[in-house]
Amino acid sequence: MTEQQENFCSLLREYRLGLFRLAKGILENDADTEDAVSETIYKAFANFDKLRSFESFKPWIMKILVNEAYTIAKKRKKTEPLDYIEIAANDSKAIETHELWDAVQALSDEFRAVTILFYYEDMSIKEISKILNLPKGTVNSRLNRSREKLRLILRVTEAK
Amino acid sequence: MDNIDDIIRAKAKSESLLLPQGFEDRNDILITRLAAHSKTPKRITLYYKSTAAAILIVLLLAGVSAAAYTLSGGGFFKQFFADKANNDAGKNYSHMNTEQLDNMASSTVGKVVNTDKISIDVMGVIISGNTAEIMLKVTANQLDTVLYDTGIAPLKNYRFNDDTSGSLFSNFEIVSTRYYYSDEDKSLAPNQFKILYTLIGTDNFKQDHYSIELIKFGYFTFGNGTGTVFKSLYDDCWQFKIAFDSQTDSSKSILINNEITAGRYSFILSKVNITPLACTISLKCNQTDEYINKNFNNICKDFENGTKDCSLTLKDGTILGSEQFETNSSGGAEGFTLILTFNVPVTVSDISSMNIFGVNYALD
Repeated sequence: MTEQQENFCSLLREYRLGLFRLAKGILENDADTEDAVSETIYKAFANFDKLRSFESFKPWIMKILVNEAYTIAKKRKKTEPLDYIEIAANDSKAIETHELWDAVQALSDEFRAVTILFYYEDMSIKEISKILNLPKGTVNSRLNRSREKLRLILRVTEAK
Repeated sequence: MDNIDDIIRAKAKSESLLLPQGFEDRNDILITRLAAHSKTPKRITLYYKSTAAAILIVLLLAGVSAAAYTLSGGGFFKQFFADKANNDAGKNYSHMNTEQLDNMASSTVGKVVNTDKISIDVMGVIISGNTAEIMLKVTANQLDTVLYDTGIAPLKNYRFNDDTSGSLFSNFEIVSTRYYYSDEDKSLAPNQFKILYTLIGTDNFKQDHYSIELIKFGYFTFGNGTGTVFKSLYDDCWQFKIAFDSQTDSSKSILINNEITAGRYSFILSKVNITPLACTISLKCNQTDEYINKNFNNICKDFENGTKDCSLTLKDGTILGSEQFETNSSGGAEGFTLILTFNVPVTVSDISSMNIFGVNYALD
């Protein structure tokens, strides 16, 4: 394996948890999420030579993941009964409380990816706009709305 | 930065991520394998059987060259396999039996879709037990050519965005998809291509009609430096049905239920399904689900090492080794499956025994 390939593999391992989190935000159940991450890694290898520089690796791999996750989500909507999704959503074993994650999961579909990329992945509005193929204004407004929702949800939780 | 952003970010850093058991191990296997084959990326062969239907779609990158075919139905596949054997120099295919393909053929042949944009012809369908092969010919009526090399080797040229939808693809272990274009198959016009599906089902196919849905026609290209995106020329869905109504079925299923050892692990070899097209071997690891999930990486390694020398012996003493079939395996707590997809059709009743993990089992 060349040094470049080794770096590439290291980056994939470094970001796979972030990929899993983002995919889970879009797909909700673990099986689909893992499929999306695997497909993303496969495509990343297939397009390795097209990666301009390792500096742009994170937005590049996140963009692939978003495409894969939405493709799977579209297929799932077409083919799966609702009860499957409800059951599969609980695949992971919840041991600790995950206040923020629970709050993010409570957001509507269109807000989740923006929120995860901004708060968990520390990505800029510009980068999120490229990854999700949305105008910067849309990213901003979604982020504002999810920020207010999170503020509300987290305060409610704190008051309990 | 808004203070709430700081609070939320701090919370994001402090909360651990809930991962399914074994995710990182499975992911390590995937990365290691792809890195080993990064010049010619192929799908990994061993995958995790998740709680959802586990699906492995194999894009066949290296295939046989397709010759000109004017036949259809069973005759089409007789010629197809004869050419495949002829082009696969250096391998002995004297055991090949294409005569049985007429009895394995579906009655569905000819045009199944005829629109101003796309026409689809079923060239041939053969079915036996849990295996099937289907060849379609697609014509893009409004295009001069479907050749369009975007530089994405496995996904180049015009194609369907989703070619594995419909009831036919609802319950399978493996489906492989292979596209042929006019630069390889000289029988095709520039605006035509063929799709070959090889299906290994989880159970035997029933005598029924199965649907195929081909969704969106266009090509894959690179986004703004970020991965591949599908550019649709037509956002349509083309659906048709194929009758699985072959006259006879020579496949057989053998229950074994014997304990067998692969490296450090013990398995129960439960069942072997044999059809003229493939052999499906079902095993279960002799450990708890928790243990399997925790040690999945090591179990896979030993399982894969053990399957390298798997072979079948025919009644005349001919041994079918790894050069005579393509091997795919899958695994998880609910079971392991090893699939040997034969390069050419085999006479099921000629197979007398199987050697797996160094142990010989009679199959007749």
